[in-house]
Amino acid sequence: MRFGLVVGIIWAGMIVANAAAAERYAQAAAAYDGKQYAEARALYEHLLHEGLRAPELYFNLANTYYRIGDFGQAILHYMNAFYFAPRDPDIRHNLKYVLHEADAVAPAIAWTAHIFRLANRSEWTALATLFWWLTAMHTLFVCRPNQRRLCKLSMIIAAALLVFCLAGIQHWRQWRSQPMIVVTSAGQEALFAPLADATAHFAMPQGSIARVDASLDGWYRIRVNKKDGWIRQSDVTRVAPWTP
Amino acid sequence: MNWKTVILNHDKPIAAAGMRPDVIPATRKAACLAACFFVLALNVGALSVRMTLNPDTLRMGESANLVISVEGVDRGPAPALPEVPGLRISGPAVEQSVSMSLVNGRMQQERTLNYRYTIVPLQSGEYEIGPFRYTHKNETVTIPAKVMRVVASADGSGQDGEPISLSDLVFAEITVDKERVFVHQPFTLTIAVYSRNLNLGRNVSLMNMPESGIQTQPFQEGGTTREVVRNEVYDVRRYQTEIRPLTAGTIRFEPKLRIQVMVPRRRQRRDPFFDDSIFQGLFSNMDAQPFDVTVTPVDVVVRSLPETDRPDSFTGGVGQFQFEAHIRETEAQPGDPLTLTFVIEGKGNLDAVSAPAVSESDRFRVYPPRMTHSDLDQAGQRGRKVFEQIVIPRTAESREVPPIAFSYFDPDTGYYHTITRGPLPLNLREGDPASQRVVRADGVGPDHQARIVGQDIRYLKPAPARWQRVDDTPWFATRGFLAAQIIPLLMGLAVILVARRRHVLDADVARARRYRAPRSARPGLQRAVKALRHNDVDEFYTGIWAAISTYFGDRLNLPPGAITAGEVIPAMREHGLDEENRDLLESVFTACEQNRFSRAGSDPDTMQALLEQTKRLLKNCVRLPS
Repeated sequence: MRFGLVVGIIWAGMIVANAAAAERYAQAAAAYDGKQYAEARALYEHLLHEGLRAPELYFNLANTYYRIGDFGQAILHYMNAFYFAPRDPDIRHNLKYVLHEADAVAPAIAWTAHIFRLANRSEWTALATLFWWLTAMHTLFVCRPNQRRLCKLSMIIAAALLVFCLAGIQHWRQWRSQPMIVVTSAGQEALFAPLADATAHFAMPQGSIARVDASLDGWYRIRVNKKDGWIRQSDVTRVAPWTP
Repeated sequence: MNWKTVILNHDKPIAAAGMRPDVIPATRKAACLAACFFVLALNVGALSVRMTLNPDTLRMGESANLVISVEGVDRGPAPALPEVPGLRISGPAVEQSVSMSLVNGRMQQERTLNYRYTIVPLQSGEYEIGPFRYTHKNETVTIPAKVMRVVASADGSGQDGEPISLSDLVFAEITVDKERVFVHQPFTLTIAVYSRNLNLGRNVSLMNMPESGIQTQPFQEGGTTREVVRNEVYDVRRYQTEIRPLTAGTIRFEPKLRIQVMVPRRRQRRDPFFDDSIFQGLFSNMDAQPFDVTVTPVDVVVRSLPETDRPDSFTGGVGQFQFEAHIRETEAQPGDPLTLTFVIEGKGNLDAVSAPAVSESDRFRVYPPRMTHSDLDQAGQRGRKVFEQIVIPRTAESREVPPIAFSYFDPDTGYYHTITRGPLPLNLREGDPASQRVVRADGVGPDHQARIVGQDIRYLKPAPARWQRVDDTPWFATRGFLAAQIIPLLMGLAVILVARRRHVLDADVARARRYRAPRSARPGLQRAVKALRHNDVDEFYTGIWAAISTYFGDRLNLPPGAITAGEVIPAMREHGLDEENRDLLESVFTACEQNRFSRAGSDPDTMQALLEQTKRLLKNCVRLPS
């Protein structure tokens, strides 16, 4: 009885909190429609500040930043949205469009990464779990002489798919170990050394995306299309996931 | 934990009297023993609690130590001190001290728990702390009251000799430079902390500030000044910040300030080694006591920007801005991209200002403007933003870029202002017709295909069905999920073990038969039990024979024709069959053979006994090593 009451209170609290978030979300969309982009941005960021996360929220905030003309922040939030919903065609389109508009640099994507980006980490984990259990189930039948050949074949297929799904998980785990960053300050360059007066190596316009190789005293060593360089951490922002 | 060792040498008078401790007269021994028991009884039975207050007279701004010592216990509940209006009592810090003593050659320990409280007076006057009760293990002790006298600080009391409180010595005020502002119009919030005759710490914590609807910059500390308030001279520290409201409404500022009042540290007891003025001078001799100061709330009314007279070119700028627009190339051909540069600078919500833009028309194809340079101060309130927009003239008739308007709202005047730049002249010449065709080619194509007339980002997405929280643990990282993934692993291991065992048994027939021997004897025994129930003698002996023949056949890997007592008994003796079981085995075999060949009748009791013997025999044989 008491447990049910507590669950009910928590459930009711969640409904009220969701309703408040939905109302603020609608206000932000109305402000966007009315071309009040500053207000829309403040409302979307307020939702983020409250600890809410959703690819739709990042997408709309990115659109708002694009309308304001801040392409760096726009690309950053499209990338955040992409991390959570990599198959979403709207996110892919807008990200590609704004990258083109901003003349930003982005790392080339390998064909394997294209495949791994067909599902997010959570979906790869669900598939891997399914194939893990299927592989295990096959071991129960593989010892039966009359089904051995068929079982072996399907077990090998399930195990191969499991390995593939694990590679998909690893792809997204890499976003945590070697995070992606977006240049959010205008007119940046990657330098040859983590020193303010080092020689510039290549340009990193606002909105450019790179992968972090290492960090050192307020600098990131980044890698873009087989080129290495150092950039100040204060001029870039890390893409999701943020927690180590 | 303080350990203090006190050694009391009670043997000394005895030695001085020329006696050895081991030759003490019996009467004195008995007296000593009785005294010890008496002391022990006192220690165990009575709860002893002392309360000390040091100092009991102090000035405002000083603190006192109150120590409650509970003797003879290892642990116990902290005394619940009654609240005394006008005093702030913090603590307790718990210390344990152990004193060790040598009594009559025996080491004795006495433990004391000290509960140390710090008392800071908030008002001058005379206070009585206690009396109150302390209970430990069903024993209750009443602790008598202590009286503490607090006098005003060195320069005297409040006006007209009234008692002075800490809130008279330290208070704070909050002010804003504007009480009615528009959305995005910044205003300055100042917090002033007034203090006199007090030593305040550097750290001031600000709590209970509004958490949403405003954008706040870090507080800047101004210098310390002096002001006269109610004929008293106060030191005043000011903290300022600039706040920008983001949504309309009334914002109430009623922060709570936590300041640190530095009070001289009181030593509980003098340290014979380090109680030195040099060390006291080297190390801090002050304690920081937190003190919360509430301030009178201030409301700021935030108004929405007026809807009336809002120009179409308004892009959200609130403040005072300058706007310039120019074109980089003026000589071009139709189809050539031209770069328009817009510069917005000034004071206001520059970080949120977006660029004006030339609209798509029959004469120009346009790309959205983008920010190319931003030079803003930390608050994003002052500075300069540069945008660029690419426009492509479609025809040579485009003689000028149409006027570009930038509108902003000036909160000081309460009106919208529009700055218009242009038209910007162009010198377009007729160029290669092919390039014109490229520009005009947009949307030209077979009739059944959609005409693409522009490019833009896709529109907003609806609200998500389910909001995720940043601190939610993903389902795949929960303990339950991770633990469940061990199950397939265990299943796989079990299957491997079973398969391996089966493989071994397939390769070794004797071992396989030995392994299944107890199981193979079961049907025969069940058959015998059933036959016994129906008094079927033949069937009974057939069952018994089946049980022992299959068991020993499998156990010893014998062919069916070789299962006789003459074969089985020597083989089983090699496995350690003792004499008693050997006789049993022989008798079971004999009984079966007699009945099978001679058809001698059997009464149920004999059959029941034979069944029990067979069961016991098989059970004993199973226990024998293979």
